[in-house]
Amino acid sequence: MIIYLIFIIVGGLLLAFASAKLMNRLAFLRHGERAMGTFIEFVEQKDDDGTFYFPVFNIPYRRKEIITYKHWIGSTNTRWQTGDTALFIFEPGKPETIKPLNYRDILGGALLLLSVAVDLLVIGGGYFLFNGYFGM
Amino acid sequence: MWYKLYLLTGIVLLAASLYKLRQSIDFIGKSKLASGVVTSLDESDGTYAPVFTIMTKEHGELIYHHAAYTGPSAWDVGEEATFLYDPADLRSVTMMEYFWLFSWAINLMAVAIPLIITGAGYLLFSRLIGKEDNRLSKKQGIFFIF
Repeated sequence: MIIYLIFIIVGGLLLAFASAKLMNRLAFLRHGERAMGTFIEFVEQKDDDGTFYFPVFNIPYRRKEIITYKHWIGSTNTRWQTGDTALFIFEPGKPETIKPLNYRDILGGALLLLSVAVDLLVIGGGYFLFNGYFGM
Repeated sequence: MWYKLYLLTGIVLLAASLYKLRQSIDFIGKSKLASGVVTSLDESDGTYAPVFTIMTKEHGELIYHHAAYTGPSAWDVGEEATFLYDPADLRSVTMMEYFWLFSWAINLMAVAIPLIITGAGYLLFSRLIGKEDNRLSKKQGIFFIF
């Protein structure tokens, strides 16, 4: 059936994309510079589901500079407190690449794509194996 | 901790999937082919599933209720399909299609793969960032999960 062919094609594209992203992130992890940031404040954003709080951090950079980072996920609770610290990572000399150093922020996206890609390839590939064996 | 549990659950589901795959292959090996005709449509909340009557040489007519309900109906009365059944167990009638023969193996596998990848990815991540930073990142990981 055409649907399994689509699985294979989409899965293959996603696999290429996910592998590139994963390699990228692993290199980032190996060569990145780590720094400890301090929680500064919450940025509030209101929408239909309520108020969301996005934590903002200050990370010391070089001698006198400071990188300000706002996390991309907001939460309805305010778990961070003034003075809380978090670990960050960025490419040396490129402060704009900064990200919190935790599993989800660094590898989460790439591995999610990889999971979907492998699922599609295994299920789609299974169909063509089945066809090959039983000649349907 | 959670991600180790992901990996463990994933491996258990993968094993279950391979077991079900084996069962399906055994079933195909010992089953007989028969063709069936849609004789009526089951209705449920505006969706329809076909009911097949399958003619077999040795066991007479078998009735098969298809599990997929769709609205509008994907099947018309009179349409034909090929089925497999185990002569020793007449309730084992299954439509001869990839998805229906291997549904358990496919569904378990589809859940197992993401669990294994995210679980194994976490172990890789922990090793790459080192012990001390891993302890710190674990602590803040709790904050970053919403």
